[in-house]
Amino acid sequence: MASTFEFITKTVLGSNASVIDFANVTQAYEHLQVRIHGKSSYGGLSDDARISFNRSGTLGTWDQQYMYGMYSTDGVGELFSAYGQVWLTRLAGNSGTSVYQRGTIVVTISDYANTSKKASIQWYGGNVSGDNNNQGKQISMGGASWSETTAISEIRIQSGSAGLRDGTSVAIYGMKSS
Amino acid sequence: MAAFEIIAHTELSSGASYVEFTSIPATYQHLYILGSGRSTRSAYADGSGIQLNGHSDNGDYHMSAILAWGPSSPGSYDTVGDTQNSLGYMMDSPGADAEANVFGTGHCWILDYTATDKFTGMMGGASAPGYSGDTNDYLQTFGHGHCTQTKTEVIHTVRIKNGVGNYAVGTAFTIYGVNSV
Repeated sequence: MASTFEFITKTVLGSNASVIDFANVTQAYEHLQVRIHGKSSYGGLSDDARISFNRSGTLGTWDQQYMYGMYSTDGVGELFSAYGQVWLTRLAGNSGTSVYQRGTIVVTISDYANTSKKASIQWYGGNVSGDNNNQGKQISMGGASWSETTAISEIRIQSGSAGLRDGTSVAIYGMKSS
Repeated sequence: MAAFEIIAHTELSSGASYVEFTSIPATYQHLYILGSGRSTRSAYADGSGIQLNGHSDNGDYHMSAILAWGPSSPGSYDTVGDTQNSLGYMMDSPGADAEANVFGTGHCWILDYTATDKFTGMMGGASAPGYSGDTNDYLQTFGHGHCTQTKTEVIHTVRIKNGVGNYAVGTAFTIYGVNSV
């Protein structure tokens, strides 16, 4: 049987960049999965990763919810329509931690080409380094709903407070249903 | 050989209390379910979960989940310990009071589903956010759960069962087989 979980595309930064954009995302699948392994240029131990859709078209807003562990504390949070991106879990920062440190995130986008549904995503990930504090050990998982029913044709990955460091990689996979 | 293969896909054209996949071939190592759901329940969200091979009695499942129901305390997140022991409770959906066109994302792994020397393990979760600007509980839910079915059977039937309401039109689930050779 033909493969139903297929690699679509990936970007590995050869130099620092402000964002990673994927344009003309194929509409040929039922679901998408985005895998991020990255580091921010932010001058601290870590910085949140963010994802957004269709930047050149309808940007929309997000309702999002997450639960997190930060070293020795935990909690939940909600964000309502305040941002044009979903706040994912943390990428490694660019100061005070190993140059080899990376954050890891897996994002699932269900039924992303269906224009009768607002896009829904779910993610989990973390950046756990040897730095024993809230910025050095963070894990989270959550979900979000986009305000638009537009098919997703563009995906942007960025860091919250700075750009992305060289070596950051983002890969997109598609899952078929027929 | 492809690692993931489609076994079946169902998209509802009318409301139904469950989506069921039967005659699942015993030729894979694991099963994976991924889809988007919405409930007709007159509320902001509805619970749902997995039942295997038609088993639905209390004690057929051991279940624990971490849930986030809105931001308010003290119930902002909770651990459910075996209170839902007639199904694997881990795949909530937005309800009829959620914004129009909002569907949640739900998934579930069923590992080693053909083994007859161990209980069947399941792990999954869902996100069902969907109402801007209101912070009451249940307006947004997110969960992650783990479940053990207390049977040593080959799994041939998987039912994704909604809670109070029906699954709404447009709810769609795909079940994949995952190879190990």
